[in-house]
Amino acid sequence: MNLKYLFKYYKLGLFASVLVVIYIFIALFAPYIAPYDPLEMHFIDNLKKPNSSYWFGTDRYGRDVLSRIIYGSRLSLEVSGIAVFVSMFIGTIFAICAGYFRGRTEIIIMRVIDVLMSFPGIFLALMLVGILGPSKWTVTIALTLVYIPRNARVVHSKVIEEREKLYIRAAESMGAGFFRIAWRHLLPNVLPVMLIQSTFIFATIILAETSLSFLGAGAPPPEPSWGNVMSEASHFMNQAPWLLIFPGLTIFGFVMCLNIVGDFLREVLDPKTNR
Amino acid sequence: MLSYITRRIIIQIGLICLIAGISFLFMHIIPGNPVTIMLGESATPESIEEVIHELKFDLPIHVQFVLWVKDILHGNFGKSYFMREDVNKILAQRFPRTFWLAIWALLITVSIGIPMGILAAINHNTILDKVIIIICTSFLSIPIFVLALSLMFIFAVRLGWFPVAGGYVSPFKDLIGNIKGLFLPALSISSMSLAYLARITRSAMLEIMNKDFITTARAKGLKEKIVILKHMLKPASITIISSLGITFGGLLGGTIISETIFVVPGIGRLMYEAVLARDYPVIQSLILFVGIIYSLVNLVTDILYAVVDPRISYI
Repeated sequence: MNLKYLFKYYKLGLFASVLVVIYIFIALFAPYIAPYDPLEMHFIDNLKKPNSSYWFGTDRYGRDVLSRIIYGSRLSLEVSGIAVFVSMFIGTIFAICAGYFRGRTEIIIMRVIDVLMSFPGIFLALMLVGILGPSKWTVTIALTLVYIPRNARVVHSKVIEEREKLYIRAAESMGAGFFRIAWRHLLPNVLPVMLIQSTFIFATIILAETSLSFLGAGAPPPEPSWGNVMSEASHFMNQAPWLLIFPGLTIFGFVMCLNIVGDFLREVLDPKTNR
Repeated sequence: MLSYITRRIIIQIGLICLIAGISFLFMHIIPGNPVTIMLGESATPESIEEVIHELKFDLPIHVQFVLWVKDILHGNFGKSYFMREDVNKILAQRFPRTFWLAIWALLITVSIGIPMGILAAINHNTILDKVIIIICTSFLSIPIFVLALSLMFIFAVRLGWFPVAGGYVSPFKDLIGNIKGLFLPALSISSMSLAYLARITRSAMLEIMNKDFITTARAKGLKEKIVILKHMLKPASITIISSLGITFGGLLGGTIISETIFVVPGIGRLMYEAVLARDYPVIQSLILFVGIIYSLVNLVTDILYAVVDPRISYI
């Protein structure tokens, strides 16, 4: 499958991938891109409509909304990115152990996952933040814990499919142990599924993270995040609706791109399960 | 089938016991002393002593567990420290609001999501199909709070069609008032679920569309309507029903946000308030309560699944 072919059939997917990269780029280089300091208050210019010096307008303290969104993307992407990575890593370990050893190990691991999945994700995350107290790291930990079972379940279903295949039997008959089979045979074959699931779970975690910080269970203000920018703006909905529109569109755009990229990856990497 | 259902119920009882265990352990995994966190810095040693005694923290852990289980079985969920009321009284007062919110949201989800999925499947690879897919992807990408705030701004603040803060009226007293107060919150939480359901319906229908028995049905000269409703939708409904549990979980999670924004004092808002106030007894009971409700819904969908698909009984 070459690039020309991809470009011909998956224009939208490639376009969305480029946008995701741009979002990440903006988050990484926020200090060089943002026109103002996100915490700097311009009191004479408070609640200004979008204009040439403040592209997205200003909030009630006269802080530039564009800069706050740009800096906010740092926090939101960092928290969600770490949560995606760690939850996928730990989830895969559980999935491979359960799928490889079968029997009692599998029953115990999968039952624990069932129990943890008996709660809606956001509910569990909010509860964990309630225990640990709201801060950037507690949100990261809470989201990681919530999505470990969800990732493990998806990867596990692929692992048990691969486990029964002949090449695993062949490797076993040659005397390969657990680590060799897991590392050399199972992992490369579940990698596409992990990649697809990571993209979708990234979208879900962004939604959960922004919701938590909207509810005030994220990193405390004044440090901007996509969610707390929205929650401050919601008090001025009537006088200054633009305060809501721009951060809302930013979150929507990023999550939409991730979902499109996920569909694109699934079509390219895992054509069998795709419909 | 009966043996399947009994087995399923036994597993469910085990799951509920585990959920109860988590709910009990909750108080004991809080770092630091939950009582001092709850009462704040200014608490006197005497009042801390009193609360510790009231929560039975001075007893050994297995005795605490037995007493706690006894209390739960008697319907006694403990006492909220901020509302100065029994938790089961608060739950009884707040649950109907969330219940009706979830009912309306489920109605919106099912009545829009399934037809949308069918429409996309029977017009596979046409413009209509693509438009529906794009609508679904965008619905899956709007955070609930963004949608809730937009709906509130347009329909409640600017147009004034609905109350800004969802006033709750019992549907048995005033059905129209109940719908009016809960329509926007229900719509905002159902967007994501309906997009999910539409995608599931579409792919389930597409899988069946190419089967031989559909060709046979058409060849028999059956009307297209009957082919779609009877021969395609019926087998597809197995997949649809099995996804309803996840759909409901999404709705339940969404109530935390939409009830907070629209000021509907239900279970979701209670969770939010309890977390902000660090009202641990309330959080503890909510873990048990939501866990049980969610797993009961999953039990019902699993049983429905067995009813619709008789092959399940042979497993």
